[in-house]
Amino acid sequence: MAEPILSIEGVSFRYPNQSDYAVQNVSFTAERGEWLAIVGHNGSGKSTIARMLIGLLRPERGAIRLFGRLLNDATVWEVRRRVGLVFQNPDNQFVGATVEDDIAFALENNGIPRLEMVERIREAIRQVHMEPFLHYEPHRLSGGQKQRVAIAGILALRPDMIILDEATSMLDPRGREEVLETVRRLNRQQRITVLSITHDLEEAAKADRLIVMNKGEVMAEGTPEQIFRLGSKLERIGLDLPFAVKMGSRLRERGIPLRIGYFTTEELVEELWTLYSKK
Amino acid sequence: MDIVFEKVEHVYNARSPLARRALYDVNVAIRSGAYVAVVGHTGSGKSTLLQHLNGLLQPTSGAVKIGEETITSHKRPNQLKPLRKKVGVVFQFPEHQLFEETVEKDICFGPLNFGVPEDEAKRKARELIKLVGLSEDVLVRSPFDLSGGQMRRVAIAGVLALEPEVLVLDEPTAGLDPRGRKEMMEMFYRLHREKQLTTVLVTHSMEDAARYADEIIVMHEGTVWGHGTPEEIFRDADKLTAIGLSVPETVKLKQQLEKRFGVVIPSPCLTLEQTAEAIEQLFVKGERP
Repeated sequence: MAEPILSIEGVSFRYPNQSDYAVQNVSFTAERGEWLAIVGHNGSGKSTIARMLIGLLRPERGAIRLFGRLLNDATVWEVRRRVGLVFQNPDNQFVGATVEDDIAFALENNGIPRLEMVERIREAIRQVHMEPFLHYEPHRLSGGQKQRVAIAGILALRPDMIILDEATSMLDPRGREEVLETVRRLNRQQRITVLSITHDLEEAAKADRLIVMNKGEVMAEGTPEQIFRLGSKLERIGLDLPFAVKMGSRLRERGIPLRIGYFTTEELVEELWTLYSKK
Repeated sequence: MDIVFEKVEHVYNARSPLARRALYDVNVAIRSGAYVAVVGHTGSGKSTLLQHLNGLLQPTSGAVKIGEETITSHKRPNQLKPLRKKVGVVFQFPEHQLFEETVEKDICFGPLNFGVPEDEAKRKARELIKLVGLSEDVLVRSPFDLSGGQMRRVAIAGVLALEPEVLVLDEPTAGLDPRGRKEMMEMFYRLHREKQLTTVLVTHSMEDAARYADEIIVMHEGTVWGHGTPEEIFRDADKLTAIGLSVPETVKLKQQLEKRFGVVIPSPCLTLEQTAEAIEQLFVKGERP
């Protein structure tokens, strides 16, 4: 097995003046090109993990390794260049007066020569399908468009990993779909590792693997299929289940002998059809 | 309070080169005591519509009647104060509006401004904090030491402190986790019934619209595209899909089952329970195709 792109070993963190740990003894890894979702209720510690990964917060105990190197004061700048974080609120992450300036900002900070900057901006804006908006002021864009510009700003730095910290939770359904579609394409085509931090289980269902956080600790880890089998355990810790799973369990309660392990409405329809036609 | 929109038009930056028409030909009536959901995607005019409900915006032409009050382009803003007391608006991310040193002061701010005696305002704060699901000892704390979900409940208590007859909710559960969302929606539904409010919910969640609303108003490109009961609105799912809106997951399932099974499911399938029942019926009664 290849060396993981990210590994977290026994990490704990507490905010100043708090006796309870926000994150306690958390360990997990991510492989290159993987889409890993961290799910959990509000306050379960998932955003704290994201902040530690780019060195905004420092763990009290444990070690974080990215790209095979220990995260510390000496490596944090390299990590920030290679890992892009998309925050929850699309209005909190703009500095430029136009979309183009905004994407240029990080490139300038990294001392990229002008000619190369122009090329990289063009490439990044194309990857998020926002070419017509290059000269727009960011505040004139929709929420989904803003988040795609934020992603373009990250792409221009040619990152190895993108972290989405509840990046779709303030968007309308259309905006959410736009952003997830963009990220999915980047993940598949360019093998950019994706870490999505979310409480939206429909978003999490798209990941290769899920880590479920509860009260600062890892409660479960597995493929979406394995995790959704936990059923009401997920509901008890404040999460939801995909629609087809909820519907299926209600139908079983009514004596329809459905098997377990489908997540989409299409799969549920096929399962019902199989039972119905056998009657 | 009955709410009536008559030929309402709203133009932002009217008589300037930046003029943009956000609403036109809006004619809609909301009866007193109804729970109404307003749906439509970003830019459809639903936020502009909402801001007419307590006079934050005045129509460029036409009239908005709220109870005894009529708002037209001629009404002077200082005449709108009584209306602001009767219509409480919970904006998106209301926790951003908290500013006082303690939760109690924050909840009392509105009533004190409307001339309610301090004792009375404090008594109300104690009552309301429990009503929104927090304990009384939160009152002495700084609102900024609370979690996001708790802050939002405090902000809602501040809106309820004015004892509004109409409660307007703009995406009140955005950013909350699934349990928080459900608890908050149940809380608003309870308030709606107990206080006999007229509730206007602006939402992207078709599930919430189907579950809680008596009526749904669909906004599209600046005007009312449709208005009816959830059953009526979601009956023609294809039309909604054509204007870029979705239908509840239960209705999608119903559509797919009808297609795959070659049957017509009579139930509107608006909730999980209703849908489970309809599918059970299909299995009990259904003949082999």
